[in-house]
Amino acid sequence: MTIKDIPRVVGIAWAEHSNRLDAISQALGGRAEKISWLSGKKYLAPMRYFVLGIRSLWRLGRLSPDVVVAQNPPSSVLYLHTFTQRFIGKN
Amino acid sequence: MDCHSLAMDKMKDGFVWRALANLESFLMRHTFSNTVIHETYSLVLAGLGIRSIVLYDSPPEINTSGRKSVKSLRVICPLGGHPDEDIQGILEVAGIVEDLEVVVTGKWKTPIKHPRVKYLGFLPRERYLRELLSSRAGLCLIRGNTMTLPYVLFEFAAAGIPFVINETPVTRVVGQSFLAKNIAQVAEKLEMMKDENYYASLVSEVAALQEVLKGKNKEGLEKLPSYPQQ
Repeated sequence: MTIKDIPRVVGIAWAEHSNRLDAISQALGGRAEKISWLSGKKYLAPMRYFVLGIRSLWRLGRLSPDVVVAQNPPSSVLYLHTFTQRFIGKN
Repeated sequence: MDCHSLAMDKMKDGFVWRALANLESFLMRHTFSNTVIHETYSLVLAGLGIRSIVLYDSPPEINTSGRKSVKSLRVICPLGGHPDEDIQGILEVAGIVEDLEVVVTGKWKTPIKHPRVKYLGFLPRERYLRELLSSRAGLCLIRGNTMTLPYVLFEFAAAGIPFVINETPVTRVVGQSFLAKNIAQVAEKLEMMKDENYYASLVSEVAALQEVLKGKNKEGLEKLPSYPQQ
């Protein structure tokens, strides 16, 4: 089985638009989820990471994908999601 | 993980960014697979001990059948929100090239005021494509040697529109005809586009570039690894 055959693929990006993520998610037969909050304000980055992290985890928890394609920076969310899936189990 | 910004770029910006960059680097070492937007980026990550697959963007499908020949030097400059986009450079070019009309789309922090520059802001996709197809050329200016390969280049290629971009180690993939080393050269290249014969040769080169970029994207997709069965 190749990664392209996995049915539930979710791409996630912290941006209002991402043509690249749309294309990758489509190529892998999945869907792209784009989440943003107060984008462009660099000094708010730590707070943005925190808020978007919570929102991303919530979204991924609801979608319960087999494969997550995270467009940098929500990498920590990808890791947390994998961790919770592995040790707590899927919904 | 798909990486389109570089952790190393952020490391110069203080403790918080350095911490986030280190976290990203750590996670990239532990993901199932990483994809990056071009070879240079992949080499930099390899230096950090991170393996990655080069997955170029693909030129999007754009219906160019309704495109009419654009005689005036109308140049579109879509902004993508990258911090290194050079709006000052665009204004300088507008000051040099006579008969130039620059149409700027996308997001920008401050008002853009120049008699030869029309700022349209963020447009719905259909309207943006109309503006793209009714332009003679594309323009994309970025400051310094940033590692970005702007997606607008793929859109210009897909629309069959010649363009000009700063030369960096990363942007060389588009070929010398579309590269400029400085503002003066950007202006010179745009001036040259007034010549119909030269312009026609650029249109042919853009068509060839589109095929090259599509090939690179296909190559990257084929390299995506097998997923371990449960």
